[in-house]
Amino acid sequence: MRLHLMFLGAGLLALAPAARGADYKAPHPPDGNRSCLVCHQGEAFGVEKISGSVHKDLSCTDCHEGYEWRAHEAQEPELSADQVALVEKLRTRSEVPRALLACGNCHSEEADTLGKSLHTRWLREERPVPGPTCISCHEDPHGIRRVAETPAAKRLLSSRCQRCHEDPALVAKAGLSAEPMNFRDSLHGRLVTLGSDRAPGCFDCHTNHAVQDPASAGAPVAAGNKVRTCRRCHDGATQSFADAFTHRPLTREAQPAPYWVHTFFSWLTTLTLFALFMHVLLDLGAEIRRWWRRRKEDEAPVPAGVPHDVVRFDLHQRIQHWMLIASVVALTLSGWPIRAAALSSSGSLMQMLGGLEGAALLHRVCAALMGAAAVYHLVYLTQRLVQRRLVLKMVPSPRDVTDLAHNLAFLAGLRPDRPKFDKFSYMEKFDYWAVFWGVAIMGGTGLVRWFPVAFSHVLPGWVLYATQLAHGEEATLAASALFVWHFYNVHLRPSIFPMNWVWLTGRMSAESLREEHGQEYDDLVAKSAKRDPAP
Amino acid sequence: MWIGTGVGILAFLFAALRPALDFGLQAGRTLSGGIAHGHEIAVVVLFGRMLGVLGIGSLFVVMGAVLGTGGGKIVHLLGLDRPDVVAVPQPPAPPPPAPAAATPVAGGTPGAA
Repeated sequence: MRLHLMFLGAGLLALAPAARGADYKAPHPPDGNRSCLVCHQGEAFGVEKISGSVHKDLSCTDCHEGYEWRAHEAQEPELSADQVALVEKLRTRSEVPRALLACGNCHSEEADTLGKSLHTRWLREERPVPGPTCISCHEDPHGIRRVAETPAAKRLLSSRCQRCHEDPALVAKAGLSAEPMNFRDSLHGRLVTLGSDRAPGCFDCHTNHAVQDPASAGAPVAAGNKVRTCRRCHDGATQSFADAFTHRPLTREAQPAPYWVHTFFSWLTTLTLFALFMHVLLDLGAEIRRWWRRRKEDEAPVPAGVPHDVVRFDLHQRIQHWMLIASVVALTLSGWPIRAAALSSSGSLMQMLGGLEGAALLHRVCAALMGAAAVYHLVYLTQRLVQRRLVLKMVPSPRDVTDLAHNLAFLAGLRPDRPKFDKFSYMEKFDYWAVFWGVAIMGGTGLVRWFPVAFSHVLPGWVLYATQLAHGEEATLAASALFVWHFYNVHLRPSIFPMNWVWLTGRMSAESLREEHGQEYDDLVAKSAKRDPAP
Repeated sequence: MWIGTGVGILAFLFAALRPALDFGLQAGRTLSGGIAHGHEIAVVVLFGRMLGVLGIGSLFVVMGAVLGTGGGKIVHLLGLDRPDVVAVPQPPAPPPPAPAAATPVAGGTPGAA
């Protein structure tokens, strides 16, 4: 209903009808609008445009009052001093400023409301930027259409607010804030962009014609009223919850903690991905060099007595890995469209996933699957610890640093051979601990995002806001590292393409072990020789 | 495998290159915004675009290669990759030669425990 009223509304011109009385009827030219349309054709007011409009039954002279058949021998109605001043002000913004006064002839209720709003005050008073008129939001009255309460309409109307409130030049000139608003990048804004019928547009919280200064006591988003406004959609919302949502620009002064979270993750992501990308490039260069030289020395047969292959992943570890693969890929696909909601491809991807509701369900199911994988792994580790079978070879050690330096020198062509890695190289340790970090961050912040109202009872608003930032930015880091770094190491590296089969079979051949884990291979050979000494 | 890889690359080029560029641009701008606060760092934005293409491209190539490999295995298991065997009448095989008489070995019978 609110949406409907907004489109019907128009009103500034509340000033106009009051002076005339309810029985006022504008004179019509003979033969109706066709008389006007004889000359006034074209895109601005063609027959097709008007006939598709909600104003199709109006006469031209209902708004352009006083015109008669003879060309422009208008006898325009008398105006009050206020109206004259307003028309003069509007003259720079419209060729027919008096017609703008006519909206209130029909839409008197909206006009009355608008007359008391912040927008009209800016229009009447001397301000650095004049306030909006009816057509600033409702656009061309000749083609205006009835808009149903659809997500598309909500998006359209919100975009009209953003046109001014997110325009840096206009905001700076008006002195509204240091930086323009950023509704489209807020969670509500992204959901509206993606076509949510539940997420609020600008007017759902700020109202439309009655819009007030947010600092004024009567505004729905004023400090004293914000919780009540949030509760219209979020049952049980608290002050912390209300504090968490903002579409103000993120600044160090206003929101220091979220600001530093954003800064931290931006640096972390950029530097980490740059390092990983350079490592991939160097490795690819080494692979190409190796292919070019066609080195044969690694192809010596494996000594007799050494097992043909070794177990690297047992069944539990493979199941944990499969759960992680399925959950992370689906979480990335279902979460990324919200992160990049402004892109048209995000909407298409969202539709493929069953719309916002389908994607939200998939995201939550996969989050639960990822949590189950994490619990499974911790239980598995605990059981191994109790059975005294836990091998701590995944724990980082000083040797990893020397291995890294050695390997970088090898990849750069400065050393002839790669280091002999033990059971887990520094790359595999990085992958493992990165998943620990990622699951902790994504799981923790995701849980808060899943139940924001419940967590708002125990967490302050800035923590809730920071979790939203951290969740999205850690997702960027995790997805990029997974698809660029991990996929290269286990799939795309030329020597193992299309994949390292360990994730399926759990076993690695002795030849591959010698190539990738030289230290472990040497230990295996030594153990075999000890067990079966040569005659 | 190579067919699957080719299909993956083509699917990426036709369906996902543009979104990958856009996603990368978005990621690059977000990272740049967190580093420079209000300014755009062209190198970071370019890096983001590159990561977008590499990341989503990798996904398509790997999916194509893995599905292609899986398809290849199924084809092999079903025997569809082997040429059809045409039944040609063959002359009857000669009878097998009579087994030679066992040679006695000193110390016992061969194979006896």
